[in-house]
Amino acid sequence: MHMTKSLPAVGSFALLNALTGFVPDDFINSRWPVPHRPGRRFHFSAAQLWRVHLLAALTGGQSFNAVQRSLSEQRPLRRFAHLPNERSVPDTRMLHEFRSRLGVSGFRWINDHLTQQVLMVAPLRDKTVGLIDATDLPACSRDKKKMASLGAHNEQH
Amino acid sequence: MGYKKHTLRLWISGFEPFILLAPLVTWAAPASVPESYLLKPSIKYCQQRLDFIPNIVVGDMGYIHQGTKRELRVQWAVAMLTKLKSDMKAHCDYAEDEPLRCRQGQELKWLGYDELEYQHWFAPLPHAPRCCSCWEQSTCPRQFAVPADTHETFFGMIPLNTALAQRLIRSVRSWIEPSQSFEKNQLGLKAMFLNSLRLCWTTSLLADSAALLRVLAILKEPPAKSMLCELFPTQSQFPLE
Repeated sequence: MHMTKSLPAVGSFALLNALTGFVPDDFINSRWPVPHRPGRRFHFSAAQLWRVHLLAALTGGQSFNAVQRSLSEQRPLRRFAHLPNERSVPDTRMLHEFRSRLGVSGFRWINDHLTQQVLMVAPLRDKTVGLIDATDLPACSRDKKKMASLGAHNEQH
Repeated sequence: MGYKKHTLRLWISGFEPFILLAPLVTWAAPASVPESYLLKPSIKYCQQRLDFIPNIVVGDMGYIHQGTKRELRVQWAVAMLTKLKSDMKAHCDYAEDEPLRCRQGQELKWLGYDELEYQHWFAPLPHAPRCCSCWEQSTCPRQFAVPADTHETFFGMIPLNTALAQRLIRSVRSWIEPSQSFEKNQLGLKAMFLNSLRLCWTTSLLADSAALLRVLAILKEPPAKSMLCELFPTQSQFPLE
């Protein structure tokens, strides 16, 4: 059996439209509700902030900061993240705080929820097959390298 | 200096239009951590969090510790398949491309694995030529048991000289590369600025989220059938029996 191409390409706005309905907003918002605390109000729900983070992958590997900058310019990105207009966009500090709040375990919980949904609908045969693999990801260490020229300069004084 | 993304993926075997893999568990670790260290935690995580364990896991090379393989087989009933390492082949009495034989030299067929006794059963093919003229014919049990721990990597739960094991190692294993390429190049994991393990882990999980959402979208809304489908070559079936 041969089918036509199944999903739009990664980086296209059409892909965002195709996937938006499958994001578990209710699960995310119920697990990480907007905290009620005195002082500054939280403007964004956990699902909105998770969607903003997901855009980093769905737009082809932009940094979180680049996604944040694009949000005010690109309406389809805001529509995917359920952000009403270009003025109400989370800043980089909010994104950082959200990542700290969820932690790695929080992101894993969301993936586990998605995996369970996949397992519920996936047509699996009697014997299930898993594959384990590892892939290298280069670390960016520019910010951790010592500046040799600066050190030499300091020694002279 | 760098990190490694270790992922246990599930093959959605009943989905026929094309090969579909879904990430089950992901770990980010320093590059010095080998994937064999994360195999057992991955299986345990699957059972605890997903209440699901794949019956067969195909690994890359034979460097997974034999004790780990044995533990997976005995405790979790998971068949761990890897190739024989080249140095292992030199000391192994069995070969991946050679069938097992009885002591009279008759080729034996694999009947299956006995999970209670942890042993494999083999028998000669029907109308085996050597059996008809064998001097031990009257006393031969015609079924031979081999304990699985005779050679954990070779026998395990599925002996490596069976067609099933060879298909899984040669065909299924090669599906990993496109998945890794998709994550690194299209989802942009390779281009991301990863300056801490925590950030590496977060971005890896987000890449998995994107992959899972795509799988969900494909499964819930299967692609429309092409009008020219009759002219296309067909996807070969891959039965696991």
